[in-house]
Amino acid sequence: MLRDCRCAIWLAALILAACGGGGGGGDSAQSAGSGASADSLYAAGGANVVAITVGPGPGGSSTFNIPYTSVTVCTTGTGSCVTVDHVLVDTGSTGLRLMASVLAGLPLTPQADPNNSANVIAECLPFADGYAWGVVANAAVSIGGESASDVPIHVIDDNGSFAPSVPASCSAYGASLNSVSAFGANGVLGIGLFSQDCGTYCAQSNGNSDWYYSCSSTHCAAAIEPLDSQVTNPVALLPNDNNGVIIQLPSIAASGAATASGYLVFGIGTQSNNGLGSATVLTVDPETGDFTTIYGGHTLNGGFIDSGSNGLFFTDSTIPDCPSSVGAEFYCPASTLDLTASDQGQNGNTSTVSFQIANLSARNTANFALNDVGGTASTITWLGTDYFDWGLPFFYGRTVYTAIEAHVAGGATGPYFAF
Amino acid sequence: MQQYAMHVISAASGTIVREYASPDDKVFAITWQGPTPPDLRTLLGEYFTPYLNAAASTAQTRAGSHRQLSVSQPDLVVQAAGHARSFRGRAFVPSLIPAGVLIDALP
Repeated sequence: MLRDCRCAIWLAALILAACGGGGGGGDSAQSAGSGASADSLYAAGGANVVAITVGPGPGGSSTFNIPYTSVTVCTTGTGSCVTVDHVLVDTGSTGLRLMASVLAGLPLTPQADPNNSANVIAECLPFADGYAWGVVANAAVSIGGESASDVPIHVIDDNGSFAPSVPASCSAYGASLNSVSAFGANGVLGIGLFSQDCGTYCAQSNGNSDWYYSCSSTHCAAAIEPLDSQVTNPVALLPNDNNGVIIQLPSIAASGAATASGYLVFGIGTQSNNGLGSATVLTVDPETGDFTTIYGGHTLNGGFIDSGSNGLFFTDSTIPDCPSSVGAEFYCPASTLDLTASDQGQNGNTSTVSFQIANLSARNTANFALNDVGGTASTITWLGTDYFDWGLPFFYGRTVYTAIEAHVAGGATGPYFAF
Repeated sequence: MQQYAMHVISAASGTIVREYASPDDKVFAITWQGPTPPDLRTLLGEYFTPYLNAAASTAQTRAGSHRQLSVSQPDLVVQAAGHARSFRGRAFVPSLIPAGVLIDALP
């Protein structure tokens, strides 16, 4: 029973205020599982926000879980530009690499060898299964509303346009990955934990890196490459918002989605839309970029978060591999597994991650976005450094922060991952 | 009786390679860990081309990831993993493993 007419009006107003209000609020970070949506902080866009699309690749590539964005490259001076679509967004590598064929016609100037002006600098970037080879050039790079000038980039020679042959010390890494089909992409935007792709090792006078080379028109020899000239994380060269990136992909159903659209955001704690919020910061080994993952009772010192991997790759001999027709590097359990692991940073922070691994051979092949793909990793038990590759499935329904070494980002210092 | 000998090679990059040889001096296994992968052409010797061929036959499934590779053939196993600045892997020839040696237990 109401005691006073005015009390009733105030009470009704309070009830209305509590029940109303939109979702998301204006200032809180996205909680795990909410992902990119109309409520996303990033939906409003901004100079530091770029679209990411998971979907079919260039030329009808059929590989799932590759996150793509577009990058514009301009020559310094003449101002000629090329916009390249279907560039892989990769937190597991450093530097912008584009196929020579998609840059054809852009008059890039190869980087000269400072010790021999007749020579140019080329790079052999190693991968676990091979290498990418080609000349290094400096260019202006624009992604969304942000630009950096004089960025050393890697031009992957997929069309034989770079005259010297691949050096034997480079092809000793394994297979050539010099093609759009090798990556399912026109290039790789490496926006990971480091500022340069090689680091101090390639800049040391006593190094013999088999990574950077000085090339005449016919012959290449391993060369020192100063840090400032190495292929560089384009984010680190932005005038602002240059301490790291955020990737947010939407939650998707366990059966997958045809495509998924999310966001790549530049800067951590530099704008009103890129704060750390309640994310847990896991610092990494500053040499390797890895943190610790505890899975199945084993402590694995090679954990990393990698948008450039299209599955969760970890060792578990109890999970059956897929037949070779699907790919023996993937897992095909009879029914979906519910699993858990714990990630721990060097700073001692921990975060428990629950994930699912489904039977890849049972997937709907029309779906390019899959959040439950898993696969094998090599077993080097004696090293105690088995790795755990938190690939793209980890990103669905999460906001993932990657902070660059030696940069303060949101109050913590990189290199770190946060989620 | 010693079942095998181990030889450690340190590359200038910091990558450590361990070669395991049988009593009759045949290298039956190698492991590696470090910032760059090792020179597989030298280390695998006659098995380098078979390794390349095996890797090529499964290359399409790795279009979405180049962070690990598994070659498992009757007479050649190669398992490689990692990313720039942190690679690890091993390779062995099953028929050359000395009797009584467990490949997973190599130090």
